[in-house]
Amino acid sequence: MVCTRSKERDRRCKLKVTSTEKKTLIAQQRGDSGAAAVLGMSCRERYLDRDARRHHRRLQRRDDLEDGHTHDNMKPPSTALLRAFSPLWRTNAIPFTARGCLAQQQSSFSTTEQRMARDKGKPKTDMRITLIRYHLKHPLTPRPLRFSRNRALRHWTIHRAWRLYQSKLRLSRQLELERQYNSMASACEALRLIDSHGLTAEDRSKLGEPEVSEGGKDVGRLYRIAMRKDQIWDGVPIEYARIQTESPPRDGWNHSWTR
Amino acid sequence: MIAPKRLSRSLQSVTQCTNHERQNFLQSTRRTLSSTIHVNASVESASTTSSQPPPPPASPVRLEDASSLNPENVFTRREERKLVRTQKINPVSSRRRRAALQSTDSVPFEQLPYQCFQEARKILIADRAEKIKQIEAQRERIARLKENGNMNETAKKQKLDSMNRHLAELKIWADINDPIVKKTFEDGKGDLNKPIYRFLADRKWRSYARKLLVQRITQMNVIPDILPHISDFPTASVDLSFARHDVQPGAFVLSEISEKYCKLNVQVYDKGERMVTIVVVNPDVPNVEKDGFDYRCHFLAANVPVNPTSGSIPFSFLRSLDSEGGQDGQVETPQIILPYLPSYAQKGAPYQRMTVFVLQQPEGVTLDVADIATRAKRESFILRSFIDRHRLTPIGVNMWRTKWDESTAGVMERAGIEGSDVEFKRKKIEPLPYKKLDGERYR
Repeated sequence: MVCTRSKERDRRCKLKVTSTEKKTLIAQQRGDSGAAAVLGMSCRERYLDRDARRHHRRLQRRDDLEDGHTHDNMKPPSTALLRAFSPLWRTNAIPFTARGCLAQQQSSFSTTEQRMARDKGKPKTDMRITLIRYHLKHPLTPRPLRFSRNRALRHWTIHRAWRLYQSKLRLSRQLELERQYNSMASACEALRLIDSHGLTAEDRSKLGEPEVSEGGKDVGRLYRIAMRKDQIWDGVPIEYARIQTESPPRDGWNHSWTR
Repeated sequence: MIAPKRLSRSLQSVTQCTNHERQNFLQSTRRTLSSTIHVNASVESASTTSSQPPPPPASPVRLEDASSLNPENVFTRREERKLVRTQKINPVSSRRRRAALQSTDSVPFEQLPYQCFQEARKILIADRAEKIKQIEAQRERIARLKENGNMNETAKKQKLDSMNRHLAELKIWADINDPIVKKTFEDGKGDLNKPIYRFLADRKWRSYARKLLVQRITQMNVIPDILPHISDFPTASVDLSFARHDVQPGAFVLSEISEKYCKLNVQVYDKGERMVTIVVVNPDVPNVEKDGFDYRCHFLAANVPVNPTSGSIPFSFLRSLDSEGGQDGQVETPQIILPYLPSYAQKGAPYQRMTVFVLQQPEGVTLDVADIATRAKRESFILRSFIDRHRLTPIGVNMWRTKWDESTAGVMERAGIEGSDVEFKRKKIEPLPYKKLDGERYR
């Protein structure tokens, strides 16, 4: 969503800007990508109280005026004018499935347990820990394996051997494919240098035949025929057919379906 | 009744489980344990180990004495069932293990009769043999390259370096999958002259202790206050202790503890012996005139030999300039340039960081300690210049912190340092007068 009005004009005309637009504006001034800013700002802003948010935005406006020069911290230059003059400025919207990737950290970094004043100093319960302990200690959860030293070493040995075996297998498959490809490539190369009698230039000179230039229509004719791609899609591979599935349907969801 | 084939193939004696064969097996085992055959199993056993339970009685028709069945020993299905029926307890671990333990007290780890484990061992042994062949081929290639006189010298050196690096890698890959190596290392018995144990020790150090150290060094601004940032520094681990008090990096140490018996344990993870220089620098000596801090060198020693197996350096064992007479009449090079000065911080001064640097001397170079001692001074000691002048490479670092405590005055007096009665006070800075600005901007 592109907003072409500049911040200065906004303030002077006192135009009403919607909250999502506001967030995009602020974020774009910061140089963030729009959608990330929308999501990131909404998360971050939620944790700032109203005054802090206002102060935040005031700083942003001041940065704009001074072309991004502040004494406290180095900010990237404001993109307000860029936005105004570049019609191709597009926010990189990320799909909703990826919004977890940009989530801000919501728990404190310190491992010291926090105590709540309203609970008279009782520690703050972390739901994540509660859930983990619940699921680990549930009577229906299978108990964790505990290995003795030798058992653990045997397990490690078997694991290493399996991984080694798998990587060797993968490597051998890869080498086999490479070998096949190289074989095909060298066959094509040999074909390219052969004329209609099956002789390369070297063979011709050995046999005393007249020299033919490599660019002649005889030399490599079969190679050129083999490299043609015009009839490749005549027999479309069956894999391109759509497999019957229950979902997702081809026609999508019919929102106006009635009985 | 012949047991089905799905039992382990490795123990032949278990698969064919007739009475007759079992008696043979038992007799053979009994022979290893003791020379006499006991009729009653309940009698004291004459077996070599007293912990071994007495073997079952020998007789052509086996009289199963139910109480003699030991849950750790039974390995035939019949005995197991009898045990459960009569004594109401289950046999202890897998049948294979119980059968294996009949023949010896303890099976060596590599021979443990677990099928998957033995198959895995076969794969790893085959891989190791391949790696050994590759190592030998690489060694031959390196030898051939060294003899090659037709190559540009710098290109040759570069190629030799990379070939040697690949050879070192191959040596690690040959042993890294060995469970005995892993076990030996975990028990702390690894020989650090071998590359694989050095590799494992280095990996272990880097996984936690080095990260902690680098965090402390960075947070305390040792880097870049004393030395600039260097990539892959530190490469050697330096453990600091004062007479049984082990010091965590950056910890506060009481003055009386840090007064004596400073000891470093330097662990290098690359092969070979090298000479190192040890420097203890205090970058926080308050200087009232310039309203800042100076550097002071608390200890300076050079030509200390260090190799992967020996890195313990107690300061009191190093040779000072005036110590003459080595063993067997050989003159040994002096090592201490500036003797150890205890760390102290005067009252009121902020805490002072005491940093220990271990610097590697160039290959084969011995520093002239007497010569350096004429020029070296404690005050305003700049480590950067010292390193540049003697072309040293920093390999290890550690630090502790001092502040004023009850013992500092005593430490300073014993060390002959003046100023134990000096107290630093913060200079009161007059605030700027409040100047009311014109009101137009703040309407």
